[in-house]
Amino acid sequence: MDSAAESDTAAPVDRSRAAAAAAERSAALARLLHRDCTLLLQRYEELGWGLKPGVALLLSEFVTQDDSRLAPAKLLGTFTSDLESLPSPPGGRLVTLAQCSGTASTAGRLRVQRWALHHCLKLLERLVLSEEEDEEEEEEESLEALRRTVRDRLSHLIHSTAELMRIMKDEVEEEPEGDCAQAEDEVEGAGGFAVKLWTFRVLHELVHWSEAASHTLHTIHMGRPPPAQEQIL
Amino acid sequence: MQCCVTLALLLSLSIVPAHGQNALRDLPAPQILALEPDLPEQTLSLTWRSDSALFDIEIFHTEFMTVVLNETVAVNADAGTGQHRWTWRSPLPLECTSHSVHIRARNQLTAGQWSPLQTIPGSDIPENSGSYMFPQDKTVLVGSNMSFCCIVKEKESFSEIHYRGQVINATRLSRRSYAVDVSNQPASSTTGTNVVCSSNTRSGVQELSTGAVVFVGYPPGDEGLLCETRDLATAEPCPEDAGKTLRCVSNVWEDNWTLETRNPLGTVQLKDSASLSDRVHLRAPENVTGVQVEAWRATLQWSWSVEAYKSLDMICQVRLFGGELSSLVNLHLTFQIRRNLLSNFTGAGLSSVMLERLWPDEDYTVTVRCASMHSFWRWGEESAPFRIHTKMARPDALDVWLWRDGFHTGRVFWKPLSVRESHGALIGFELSQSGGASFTLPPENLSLPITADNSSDIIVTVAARNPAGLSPASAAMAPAYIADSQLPVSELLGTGGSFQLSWQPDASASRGYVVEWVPAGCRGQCRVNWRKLPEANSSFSVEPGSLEDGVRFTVSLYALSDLAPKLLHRWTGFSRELTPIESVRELSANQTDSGVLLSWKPAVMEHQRGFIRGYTIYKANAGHLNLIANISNPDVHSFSVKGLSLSSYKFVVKAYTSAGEDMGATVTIKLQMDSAEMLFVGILVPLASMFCFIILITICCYRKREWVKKAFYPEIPGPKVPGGWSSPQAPLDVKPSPHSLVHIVETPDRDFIKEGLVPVPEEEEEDENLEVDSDSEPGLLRYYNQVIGSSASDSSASSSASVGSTHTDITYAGIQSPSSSSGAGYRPQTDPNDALRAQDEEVNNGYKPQCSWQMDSPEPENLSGSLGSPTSVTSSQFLIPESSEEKPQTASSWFHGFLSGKS
Repeated sequence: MDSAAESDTAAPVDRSRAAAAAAERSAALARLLHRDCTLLLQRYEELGWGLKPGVALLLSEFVTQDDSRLAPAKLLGTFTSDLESLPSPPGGRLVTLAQCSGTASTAGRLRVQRWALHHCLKLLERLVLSEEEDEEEEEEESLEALRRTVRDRLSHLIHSTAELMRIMKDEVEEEPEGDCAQAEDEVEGAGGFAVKLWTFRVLHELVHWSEAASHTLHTIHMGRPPPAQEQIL
Repeated sequence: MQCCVTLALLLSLSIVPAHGQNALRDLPAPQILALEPDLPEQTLSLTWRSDSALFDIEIFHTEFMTVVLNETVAVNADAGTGQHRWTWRSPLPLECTSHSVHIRARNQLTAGQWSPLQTIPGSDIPENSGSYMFPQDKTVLVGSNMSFCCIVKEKESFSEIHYRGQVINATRLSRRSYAVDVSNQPASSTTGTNVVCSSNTRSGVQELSTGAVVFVGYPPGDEGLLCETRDLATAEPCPEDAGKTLRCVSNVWEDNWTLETRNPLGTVQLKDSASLSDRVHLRAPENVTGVQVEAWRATLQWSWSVEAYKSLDMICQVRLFGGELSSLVNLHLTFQIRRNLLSNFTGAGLSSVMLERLWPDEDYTVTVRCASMHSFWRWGEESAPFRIHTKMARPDALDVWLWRDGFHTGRVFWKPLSVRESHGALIGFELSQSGGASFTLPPENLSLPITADNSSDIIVTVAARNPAGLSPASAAMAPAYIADSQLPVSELLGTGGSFQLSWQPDASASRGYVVEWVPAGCRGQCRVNWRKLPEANSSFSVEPGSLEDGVRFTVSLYALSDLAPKLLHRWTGFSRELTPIESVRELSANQTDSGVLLSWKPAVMEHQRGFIRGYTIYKANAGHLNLIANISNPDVHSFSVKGLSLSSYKFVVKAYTSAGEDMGATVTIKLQMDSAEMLFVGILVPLASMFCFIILITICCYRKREWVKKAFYPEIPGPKVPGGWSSPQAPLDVKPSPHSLVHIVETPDRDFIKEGLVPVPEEEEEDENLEVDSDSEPGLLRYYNQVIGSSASDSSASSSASVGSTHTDITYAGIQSPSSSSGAGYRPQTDPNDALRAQDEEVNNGYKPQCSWQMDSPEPENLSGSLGSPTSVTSSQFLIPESSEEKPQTASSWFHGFLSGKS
């Protein structure tokens, strides 16, 4: 009986530690992804694909708000479930969570963010496809490699968060609902500017959701007991 | 919004009668048949019917009725249709706002009626509520001028337009449409120049509204544009990557042709001529494959897609990329740099070549490209890469050496085979010893211990095996073991991290030499290196790669012959000396008669990391090291420090090599006296001091014997007792001076010697002061008064002065108070209580001597200044007369007087 009781109590602890380890790995991956997405956005800007400097001027207020959101205290203290309340890029968000619920808990937020990341991956693949179709454009190899890296890391992050959610399934209050997020994967308007703006919005979605996932995963990781130390003889 | 447009149209219609009133009736208004916009070209075509040939045309921006054109044009009717047609190019995109046009006929002097306004709607009509910018994705020449317009979204207000990051002044075209003009545009990047329009929302927030991209560039150039043939029949443009904008006008090859190139900004035509055979650009070989791939060679085969190639004299170049890959990582990309081998082959219609000098068991990637041998034009396209893998071959022979590390031990070593030597993955090594068993070792083994002695030759044979077979056997004969102590060992100094060796040629080295170097003192599995040299060599440089800084190596030179290797010479040294890693050992400091003897042992050889050149001795002083000796003889392991006083000392001893000193070993010592000195200082010195003191006291006492006698043994006069004292004692025989009377007064704390004087301890004195002395007289004076009499009030000042000299041991006061004659007489030295009692008894009939003194004695006021002064016990005169102004004598002055013999 005692051993059974111990195993009953040990199992949640082990699962919690496994969740902590998985959250730590995913958080690290999300941080890398966020850094790469930011780099990718910068590279697009440098290559003239971005909308700077005109847009940069217009976005200054938006960027400032976005940066202020990075303050750790605000991140950890005021990061609410209302993800939609965060500042939007020009033209509004491509990935929306209007139909999502259950984002009050950290686990619920992670579930929703995973769907958002899933849509981001689709948008990125659509972007890559549209650029590859334009055969006359000769891209820099470094940009292509960076874009590939972002795509791979994003894909891995989606898988790792799925694994984390599987470990944390007992903590999700309600049944995981399906894909509640929506993404606007068609270019609005015609002309090169519309394509550029859409590209910018896609990249911004990547930056935004990778950052959001990074903080959610960090919160999950910090709220867990540390992983058991490897025994040293 | 709709009402605004309607109002504008009504206004325009209302203008017509007004104009008509001023027009002549024989010039009717033209009948507009069509108003057609060409949006990409920004043109407006007007078609009308009229009998006139001269017309006034007005074009408005409909919403504000801003006249953008008011022109008189002469347009003749088309002969076939009888219609007039006129086209106007708008500086603004026609989508920017609605345009209205009307026209009237005119002759030389008069004008007809205006036709009704014809309007083409812009994109700013209320039905289109979004935001737009025009033109989109336009391509223009560098330096051209352009106009852009921005139509803001309904319910938003226009903010500004940026062109290349600069805000451009905008002109309002309509309620929602604004236009900017840019001039002399610079070339844009490949992604175009952005024009961004922003607006203010109803909440006042500025946001990006819309934008456009314009591509500003140049027309095509004519550099490097040529035509060539690929099929030996037709002409194709060169370079090939310009094919989309470049074409050779004549497809059939001729000696002359026209080359035309174009892009959205222009067209260029070139004429050139050349012979067909001079412009052959071969296509890539197809179906490249390897046939008969062996270990050292391979045959390559391919085919041609163009039949005409099969008879063409051509040169083919085979490029081999193989082995020894290295990589460079540059941020995100990995570039592979491969060894590139080029081989050229010639022949007619070449489709097969033999590749030789390949390496066994090697991966090669092969590409082929060919060109026409006749008037080489340029290399043709390269074939797709083809990968071949050569077969394995037997390994090369091993380099084997037998190292002796003892009389009965040794180890056979062999060098690993490189990829170029193994010719295939090794399976193992096979060893056999003369007269012994055979071994098979796995491929990771590179040595094997042996047992041997110097009595017989030992030969070990080693061979490597791979799947293709066994390598030729390599034999090594064991040299005789000779310890370092058995032969002179030269010191070897490294040069630039290597050893430079040279020797005299030896006749016995019929098969060359072997230089062997190994870390000194190593036994067993050591890093044994050797190099076999031809017999003609007499020098060798041991490269730094096999050496290690700060490690002592033993280098041996052997002569090879059919017999066992013969040791010719042995060196020992460091390729590069370092500072010792360990300080001297067992450093000790011993106190000697003359100072401190420091002794130590050198560090172990492994920690010396260089030849010890000497030692430096430091004395540590408040954190600083003061060099006190530099011992340049490394065999000296002690040093005596002299001239030290009794104190604590810290010494640091450092060994140094040519690279510098080590960290140093520290020893601390506290110098002390030895036992004899201790005995001398502890016993004899106090004794001698005491003896000297006694001698000094004795001398002083002798010299002052009179004074001592007077001070300590005064002669006390005998009392004159009235009545029953019939036989006075001897001292009383000495008659004092008739006018003098001696009273002996001693300070209380010194009175314990003499009985008869009343001791008045200080505490007791104080008690008496508290209890008895109501008139504040000092106790001593009171004592005096007790002896002399109770009425000596005039001497109180002198008594006080005597008391004030507290160090005065003995006070003699030859005082005869004027009141002493009133009844108080001499009192012998008795108990103070007795004296008190006697005082009571002799108030009226006591002893009253020396009444005559009163005549000779000074005035009472003169006596007060002499109180406390030393006084002869036999004289009533003060021995040290003092003036009334002098202060009472202090103890120090008294002692000074004592030493100077004054009494």
